[in-house]
Parts: sequence; C-alpha cells; structure tokens
Amino acid sequence: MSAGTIVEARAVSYAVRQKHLVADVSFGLEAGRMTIVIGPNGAGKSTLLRLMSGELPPSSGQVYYGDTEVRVLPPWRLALRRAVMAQVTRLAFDFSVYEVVRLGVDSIGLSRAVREATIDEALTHAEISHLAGRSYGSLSGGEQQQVQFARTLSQILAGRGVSAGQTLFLDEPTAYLDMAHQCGLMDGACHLAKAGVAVFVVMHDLNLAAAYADHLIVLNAGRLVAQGRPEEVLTNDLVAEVFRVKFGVGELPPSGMPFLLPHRHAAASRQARSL
Amino acid sequence: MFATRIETDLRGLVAARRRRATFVFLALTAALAAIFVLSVGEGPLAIAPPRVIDILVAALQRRSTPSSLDVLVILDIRLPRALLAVMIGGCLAVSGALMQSLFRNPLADPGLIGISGGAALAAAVTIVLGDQFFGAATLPFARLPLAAFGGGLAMTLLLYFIATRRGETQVATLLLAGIALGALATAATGLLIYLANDRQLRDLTFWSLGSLGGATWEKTAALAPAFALTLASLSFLGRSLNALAVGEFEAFTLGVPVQRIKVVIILVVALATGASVASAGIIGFVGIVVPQFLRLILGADHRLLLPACPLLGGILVLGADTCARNVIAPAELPIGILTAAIGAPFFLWLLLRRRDYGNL
Repeated sequence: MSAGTIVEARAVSYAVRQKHLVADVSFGLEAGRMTIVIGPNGAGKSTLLRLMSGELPPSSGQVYYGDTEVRVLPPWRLALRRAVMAQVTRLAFDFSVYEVVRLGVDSIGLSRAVREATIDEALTHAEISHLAGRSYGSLSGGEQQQVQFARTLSQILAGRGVSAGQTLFLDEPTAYLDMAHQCGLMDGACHLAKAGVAVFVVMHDLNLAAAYADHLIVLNAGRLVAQGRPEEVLTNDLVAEVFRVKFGVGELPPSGMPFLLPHRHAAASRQARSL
Repeated sequence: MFATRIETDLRGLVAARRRRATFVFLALTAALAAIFVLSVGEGPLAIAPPRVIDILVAALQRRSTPSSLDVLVILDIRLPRALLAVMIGGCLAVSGALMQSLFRNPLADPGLIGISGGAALAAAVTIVLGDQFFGAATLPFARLPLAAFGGGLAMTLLLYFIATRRGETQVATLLLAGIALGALATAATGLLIYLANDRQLRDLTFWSLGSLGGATWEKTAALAPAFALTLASLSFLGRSLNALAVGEFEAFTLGVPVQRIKVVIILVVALATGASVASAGIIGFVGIVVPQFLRLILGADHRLLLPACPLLGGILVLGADTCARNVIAPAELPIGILTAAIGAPFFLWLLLRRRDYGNL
C-alpha cells in the first residue's frame, strides 16, 4: 500500500446466512484520490461502503483507519475522519436545509463563527446557498440529494480542523440529479479530492465513473474483479462479462442515434449562476 | 459581490431563527406564568391575581404571613395542584417528543401506543393488590410511581422489540401492536375493578380518565425527581435526536452512539410517563399535541423543541386542569376528557395533512 493510504480493507468479507455479499476484498483509499466502485445490481457495492465506513463489522478481515482498526474507534472519533452520504434519505421531521447541513458541524466544539462559516462554505460548494431557508420536505429528490451532499461536506470541512486525513463516502450521489447537477456534484467531490480528501463513490453510471475516477474498482457477486485506472479497467471483455451488454468501450451507437457523455469539469451551471 | 450577498443571507437567516426562538420562549414563559397565577386564584374562593402574587412571593421568601383563609387555600390546596399539573404536562410533552424521535414518526404518543396503559395497569395492580403483597406500610408514596415506571418501561421495551427490525421501526406494526397491548392492559385493569373495594374502585375510575383531584404536597414531591431527571436529559439529547431524524445509520456516521441514546430515550420515557401516570392517571394526547404544535412554530430542531416542550406541556395541562375544576363547579371533570377534546381533533387534522404527503 502506498504512503497516502488513509483507509484500508484487508481481505474483508461480509456474509449473511452463509451467503457472501462481499468476499475477500482488499484495497486502499488514498488521500487526494477519487475511487469509484462500479458493478451490476447486487454486486455488494453498498455493503462494501457500509463496511468501509465502519457501520457493518466484517465477518472476516479488517478495515483500518491509519493504524487503527475501525471497530475500536468510537462513533465520535470516526465522525471526525469520515462523512457518509447514504442512498435515500427521508427525514422523520421537517427540518430546514440550514438545519440539515448544520448536523455535520454539530459534533465538534467549534466556535459559532467557525460553525457558520463552515456551513456557508458547504452550502456554496454544493451550489444550494439559495435553498438555505427552505424546508427539506418541500425540495425535489435531486435538491434533497444536494442538501445531503452539503451535509457531508460540512462534516468533512469541520473534521479537517481537528484531524488530518478525511474520507468522503458517497453512495449513488447522482441518482436523482440531472446531468448538469451530476457533473456539478462530482466536480465538488473532485475539488475535495484535490484538497487531500480520499473520496469513495459507489455509482451505476459507467460514463460518469470513467470520466471522474482516478481509481476504478469493479465488483461482481461480492468479489473485486478489477481495479486500476479507468482506461485500464474498462475493457470490452470486462464490460461483456460483468455488465452483460453487447456493445463495447468507445463504440458509437448506430448512426443517427443521439448520445451525450459527461466530461469532467463540464458543468456550465456555476458560471451561469454567478453572472 | 455574489458571495457576500449569500453570506449576509445566511447570517440574516440565522439571526431571524434566533429572534423567533427568543420570542417564542418569552411568550411561552409569560403565558405559563399568567396561567399559573390565574389557576391558583380561580376556584370556589376567588382570589385576585395581585393577592395571589403577594402570597406566592411571601411564601418564596419564607416570610410568615398571617394564616388567613386565602393563604391556606393557596399554599395547601391550589399550589401543589398547579405545580403537579405543570410537571405532569412537562413530563408527558417530553415523553411524546422523545417517542417520536425513537420511532422516527411524529404520530407516536405514549398514550396512543399503550405506554400509559401499561403504566396504569401496573399502578392499578398496586392499588388493588398492593396491600396484600407488600403490607400497607411499605413505601406508600414510592410504590405507585415505581410500579407505573416498571409498567411503562415493560410496555416501551415490548413495543420496541415487536415493531423494530434492524433499526427500522415499522410504523403500522408499532401502532397496531400498541393498540393491541393497550387494549390488553385496559382489559386487565377492568378485571381488577371486580376485585376492588369501594375506595379502590374510586381510585381506579379516576385513574382511567385522569384527574389531579388528589394533588397533595407529597404527590408533588414524589413527581419532582422524575421531572428533574427528565429536564436534565434534555440538555444532551437535542443534537442526537436531530441526527436520529435523518436515520440511524446517518446518526452513527455523524458520531452519535445510537444504541446508547436509544436506551436513554426508553428509560426517560418510561420514567416520565410512569411518574406522571402514577400521580394523576392517564392524561391523553399531551405528548402528541405539544411537540407537533411547537414544530409548526419553531421548526423541527430538537435543541429548541425539547426545552419548549415542558413550557407548553405545562400550559396545556395546567389550563385544562383549571377548566376541569371550574366549569361544572363544585363538581370536577376528569382532565383526560378535556385533553382528548383538544387532542383528538388535532390528531385527526395531522393525519389528514400527512395523508396529502402520502406517508404515515
């Protein structure tokens, strides 16, 4: 493992009633690197995220944060070192956007001024400053996803003042977003990675994954079947075997059929909105 | 330019929230004080508010006042009753807010889902059979609160284990199981009626609908520790309850020791509900009306909501009790009738409102 490894999975398995959801997976999350996990439905992507973030204890193997095994870290210490955006989040009560984002900075004894600056930065970064006073329940699915993203950002930003080496976990962060917001959110995650955060994303969209991943991991039936740079990993053989589609990498659709692919840093929204 | 504007917006938003919260807390405190003075003055012997304040201030300063009739009425009869009402309202309102966080559902209420019923059954068993089991002399004051606490705790745990699978509470299961267990508790309490003697029978009836008619300084003193513990727990629960509202997994990722917090919630609910049931019987709907109404005016943030609960809970129960003992004077209405008359329509209105959002 390289020196920049912040979180490391060592031969991690997770089984429920003899069935292996994740089997013997080893890899590391490095500071400043965007790691994206892809795989078909039921491949164990979300389970892997829950193992890495410390929620689920592995059936065998260990997850390490630095030199410490994750299961001995109390929740509050873990919260300083990683933030998690889970898939669908429905709130039990109707909080305002500001209150949801504030949850990320509440765990640490920061001064009021620092807290508010952090919340402001997270809101601006997630491009939802204009929603701060709105009620969460009144937002669209996509906007709610951006708010949850801002909540994890505020937690990372707050944690950075206390301990070095943060990890951001995102589980299908773009599921409800239109293309501009997908790129906007992924650009935001990229920006954090550039600032030294290890980013771990689970997603279905192979094009988005190929555009943004520094390191791509492919899971199939709980096993890690390939990892590396996207251009090394995404081969015709792998796509055919793991994802069971007939077309290959870089192949154009039949002529006359329109198609659009995302590019890194292609979101036009930020410039347009700040004019 | 743009960034500065947003920053000011956020600062303005935070300031507006703080202003509104300050206003709500001042208004609630003022209303509670006003109702307290009115309630203590109202009754067969009407005492004007200035005189009430004089007597209360004198008592607080431990100045000996000539023991006229109005001083006796206030200090021995009405003051303990008013204090009891405020504490019961606080306990019930906080229990409701905590239940709603634990089950992640704003419709949970200790009365509706049978926790009060469990506490009442345990207390009824103690009333009817206690003398035979323990002898009349053992712990006469502590016996009822302890039994009610045990009953409430058993019911909360039972419900929690029935309705929760892997950290997710099935709301339909919760409500239906609560109804079933509540009905069972009511049936068992009904059975006790046939075993009761005349005095016990009167106690039991007054219990099932709730009444503060039996308020004494002893009862008030017995409830005080439970009330104090409940208030103390609020100081550290707010942030955790906010995180729990996003989900148990999310709360864990935000650094909340979820299992420990859930245990604390269950214990505080059993203590607060049990102790108030032990002192005045079942008073329904306070636990649902108060937190819900406060959410409408303060928002969902538990750090504001939780400290406001005892204030509005106190206002509601004290106001209801003042009506209960004055509308058909010299007779008294059971207070449960009044809280149900306010609470049940409010609950229905909530149901209809939530139906429009499409989830229960």
